Amino acid sequence: MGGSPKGWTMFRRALRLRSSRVLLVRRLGTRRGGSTLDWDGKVSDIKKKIGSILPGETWAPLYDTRHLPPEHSDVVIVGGGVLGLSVAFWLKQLQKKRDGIRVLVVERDHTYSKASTVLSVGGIRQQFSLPENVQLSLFSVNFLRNINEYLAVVDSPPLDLQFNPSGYLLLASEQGAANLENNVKMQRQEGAKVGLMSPQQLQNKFPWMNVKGVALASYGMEDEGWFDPWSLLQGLRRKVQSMGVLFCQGEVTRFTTSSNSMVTSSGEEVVLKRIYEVHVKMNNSLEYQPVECAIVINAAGAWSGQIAELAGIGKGPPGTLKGTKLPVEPRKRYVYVWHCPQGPGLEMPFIADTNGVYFRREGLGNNYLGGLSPTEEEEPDPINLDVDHDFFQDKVWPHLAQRVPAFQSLKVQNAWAGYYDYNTFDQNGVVGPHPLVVNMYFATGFSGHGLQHAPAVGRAVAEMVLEGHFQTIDMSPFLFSRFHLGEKVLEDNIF
Amino acid sequence: MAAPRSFLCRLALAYNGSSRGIHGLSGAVPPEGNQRKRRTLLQFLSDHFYDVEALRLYLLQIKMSKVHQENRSLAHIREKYGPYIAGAFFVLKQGGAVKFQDHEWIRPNKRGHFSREFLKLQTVPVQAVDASGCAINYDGLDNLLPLKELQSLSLQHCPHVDDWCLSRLYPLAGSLQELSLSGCPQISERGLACLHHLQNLRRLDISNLPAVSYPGLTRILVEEMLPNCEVLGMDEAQGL
Repeated sequence: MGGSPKGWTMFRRALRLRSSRVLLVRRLGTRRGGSTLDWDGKVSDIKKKIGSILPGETWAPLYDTRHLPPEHSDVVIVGGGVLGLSVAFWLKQLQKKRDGIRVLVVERDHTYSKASTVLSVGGIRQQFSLPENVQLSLFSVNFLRNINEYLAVVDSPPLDLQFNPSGYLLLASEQGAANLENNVKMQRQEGAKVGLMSPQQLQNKFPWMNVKGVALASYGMEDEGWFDPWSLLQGLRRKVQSMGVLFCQGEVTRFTTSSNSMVTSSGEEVVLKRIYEVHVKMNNSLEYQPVECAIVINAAGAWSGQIAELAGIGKGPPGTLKGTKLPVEPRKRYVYVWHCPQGPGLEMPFIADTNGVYFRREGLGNNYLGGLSPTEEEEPDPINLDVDHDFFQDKVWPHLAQRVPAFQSLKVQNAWAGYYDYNTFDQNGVVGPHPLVVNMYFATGFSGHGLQHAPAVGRAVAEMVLEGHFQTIDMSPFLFSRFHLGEKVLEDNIF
Repeated sequence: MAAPRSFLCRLALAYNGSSRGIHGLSGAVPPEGNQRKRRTLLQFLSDHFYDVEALRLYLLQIKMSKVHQENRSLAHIREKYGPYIAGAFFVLKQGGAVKFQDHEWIRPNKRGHFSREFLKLQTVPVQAVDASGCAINYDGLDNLLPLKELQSLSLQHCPHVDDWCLSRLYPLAGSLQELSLSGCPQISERGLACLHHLQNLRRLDISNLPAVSYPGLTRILVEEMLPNCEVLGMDEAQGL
């Protein structure tokens, strides 16, 4: 073969050059650019693009929408605290069909820095004066006891609520003694294990206490104590996410409603509204997503009043149903932690004194925590969560030192403030639908005992949404309509 | 189709059991990082298929309902024969031992069978109960609490006895003199705090409780709480 061996070797040399990774000669033309240099990077880019088009991945060719909530959801729960998550859990649990109901939980602050749930002292008791409250507590305690059955998630460690079953001790002076006795009788009828103690028995049992001024005391023997609300919240969150509830970090800024005017049998015109869209605004931006929904649940805690106003509740002439606002507002409460080396030991229960001061043991190192609800005149401004240490000095410490003499010498280690979602009408929760805005359900306003009732209230609201009526516990005294009718459901044992 | 289904159940139970057996249901919790390293095939499948996850959740719930079934209330036996026989029957059924007053210990044999002779002892109170290693839980204590003359109760190595169960023991305060809780993985110092009701207690064994965070300090506090009681276990050598 004659041919041109020189040409052949040149061809082979050119081939070798082209196939090698290292570019020996800088090419003049830009037709091929630097393609062979960046080959690895290009391959991984192509792989990423193919990966994002596959089913199940997010593909937003125009812009990234992963942080936005979905465009449609059956139920939107405003507020991701323990009440909101409890409602989400029971909605999914009671719905027999898997994925039969789509739930979206909208929470403004995923660090829960101002949420009442995590700043709570974590107590649970059955010693209330309303039978419904006692039933709610009994159900919730049952839930907490079997929490690893209710909130079991495959491959996750079991939940440890750090429950201290030390019981509550409510002290009553001469005036409150008869009331306390009636309450205990009612609580025992409902099934709570509460006993009465005379001052002498109290002194024998708790020698470190000064029983001066105590006429009668009620002591919860079982199913009462305190636990860690943060672990309950995390457990609920984990379970609820495994059940398919979607979470969104954003703020609800608008409800779009449609109205329907109807005439009652007496000829009066009533305007019924339905919320069909919720505008969820992202934090630190103007971006919002309208979420089409069927039901909205107001579990926003201390801010429920603002959410209700957005839906138009309370915008009307005062005295009418249309003009009745949701009377829930934030109230600031302080909790102080102190150390007292000679203080009471392991047997100390959660003590609630005659004047409203409450305190309990915290851990094993002689630390205690407690507080006091201020009177109406002394209510602090709820604009921020700053702590007033003078309040402890002037109002709380004298009572502590009087009841437990060892507390005369104590040292405050820590203090924090949290909000009560305070119901100014009667300090009890609001549960159930609004009569005029037909698809907004309330689960709020528990004024300091929301955490201990959360599992039961969640179930009640879920039953109301799915069945249309309350099944396990009858919560009809807690409906919204009582604000218009003026029927107060007062609870005595609130601290 | 019974054979393949039972095989699948056993296979899944084996996988489940290795990581979350009865003793793995409690005790110290490993951090999330450790768990990511040892992902078994079944965990991988659970992450990617809803059916596998639902099946594993169902098997977990079956395991829990078995414990419930063993602890059901024996109300009909209590009505017919009285509280002492009902309590004794409950303990013997679970595999524990029972001692009636002035009688010998009654234990089930290796196969779990026990003689029915104790059914004649309707009016004789139960003096001691040894429920070591039994699957007794909060609901099962329903059957033990009516035993008003119980003097000694041993709950050693019971995997389902936790702080809630301890808070339930106060009805036995009048007679209980000896209580042993050694080796129970779910008991912590918070449950021990509610033993102050048991004022007649003379011997309390709280050795080998893995969930108690500060054993030495807890022992001191329990001794202060129960001044007439001898507290065994949790020596100061064991990590203060």
